[in-house]
Amino acid sequence: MSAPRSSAILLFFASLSVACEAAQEAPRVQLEVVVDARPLAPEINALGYEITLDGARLASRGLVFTVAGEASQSGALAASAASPWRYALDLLGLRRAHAHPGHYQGGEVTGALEGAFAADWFAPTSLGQATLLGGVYTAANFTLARGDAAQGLSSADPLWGHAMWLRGVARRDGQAYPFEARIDAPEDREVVGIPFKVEITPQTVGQLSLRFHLRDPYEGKTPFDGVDFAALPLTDVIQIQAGDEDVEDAYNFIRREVMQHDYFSVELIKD
Amino acid sequence: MIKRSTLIVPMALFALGLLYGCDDDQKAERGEVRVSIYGESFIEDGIPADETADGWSVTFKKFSVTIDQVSVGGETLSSPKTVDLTQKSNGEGHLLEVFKVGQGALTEGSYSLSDIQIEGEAYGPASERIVFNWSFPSAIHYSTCHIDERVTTDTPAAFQITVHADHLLYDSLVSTSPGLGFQAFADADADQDGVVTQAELAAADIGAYDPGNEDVEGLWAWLEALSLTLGHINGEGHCHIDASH
Repeated sequence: MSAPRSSAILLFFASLSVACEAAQEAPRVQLEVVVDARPLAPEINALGYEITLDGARLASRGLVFTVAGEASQSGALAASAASPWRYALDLLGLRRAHAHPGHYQGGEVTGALEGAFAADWFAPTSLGQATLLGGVYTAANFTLARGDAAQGLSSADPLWGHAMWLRGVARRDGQAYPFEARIDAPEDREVVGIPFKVEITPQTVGQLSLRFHLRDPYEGKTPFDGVDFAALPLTDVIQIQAGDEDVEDAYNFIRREVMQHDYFSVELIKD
Repeated sequence: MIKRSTLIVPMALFALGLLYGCDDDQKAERGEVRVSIYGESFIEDGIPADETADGWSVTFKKFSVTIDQVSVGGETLSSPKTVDLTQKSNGEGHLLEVFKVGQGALTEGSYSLSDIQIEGEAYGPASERIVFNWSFPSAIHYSTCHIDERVTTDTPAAFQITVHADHLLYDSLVSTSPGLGFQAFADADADQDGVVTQAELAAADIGAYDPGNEDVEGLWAWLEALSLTLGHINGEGHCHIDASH
């Protein structure tokens, strides 16, 4: 083989190697994730009650960020096999979004806030540092948990043993209906497809803010739309929780709603 | 002395010729893909009470589906076929067609199901009996069904459309390990005549069922959503679901 030809072949393989390395070493960005500090304004539900919250907390086992992907399991697997992210994800130890029939939101996980956390929208704090690969993000997912010591809670905490705790007052026709709702989620229940439309680059700075919306910004509904507070057993504070037949319908309605992605968003807040 | 470079072109042509010849041989010796559909024991024998969280069991008198648009290995089903999956198949499923295809790996295929008609009875833990007769006429197309088969002249490859009837009893559209139950459907029998109808289901709230991000109003819409997930491939393999009701 002539020297120029062998050199050309060597150069070809060398370029392949460089290209592979470039794909493997995608830029990583560290961003702080915080609970959104903006106040939750009162909202009117579909039955005319003005809902004012003074407590809104959520227990989670972790938050991940996704770029666009397929919706079905087979599609997601196929997409993953061809993805330049795959090796980098393995390096980061990030898992890929799992899909199954019925999982109508997919996406490939390329960022994560590791570890359990409790988000409190009335005492917003930092939830930790997330690691993200550079890319155009479309969504975030979090896994709901039963609040426990993993989230730093004590057994006296109202979130203990529950995925979400909401407290507030519903008002209509001069009547006030204080309420407290404890929401339980199925094991490993993910809230998938939370809007997170941000391009992350090595130059990105700021904080990722996890927001809870009392009114779904897309469909205009509230998590309390189907709740007729006047029809619930009136006590000092109406307790809405699992296992109480008197509030079962209200509980099921709120539970279904707050486990939907539309009530949450993640936004990049620049310093 | 002959320069090495002058040999490269004829050698390359020779190698290409060998490759072409091999390919031609493979095409000449085609293997089989056996296309079948199977409702598993859950449809042929029923869903026993110990599979459900609420102690209900379900038996099917009819579980009829129309299969069409089967595409695998470059071959397609000659015509739509309707099969009642309650007919016993000794664990083999019902053969639809045998395709002759070139040897090699088969990694995906597609198909559609439509005109799903389900009749059966459910028995509750307190000796309740509920009859149902439900139809889902719309076509559901399942594409990029992932398979891991190899076609050879010796062994046929399998493309088995597997229908998972237990999905109709799921309590979640999103859980990877949903619970199974029938009590909610039984409770929807508003006139308590022992028959739960589409209208009664449509009027009943989905209660504690978890629709994920979907806005599912009423148990009939819930069943329609679950019916989309019936189709699988070669047992537990999944597909992309293209159609909805």
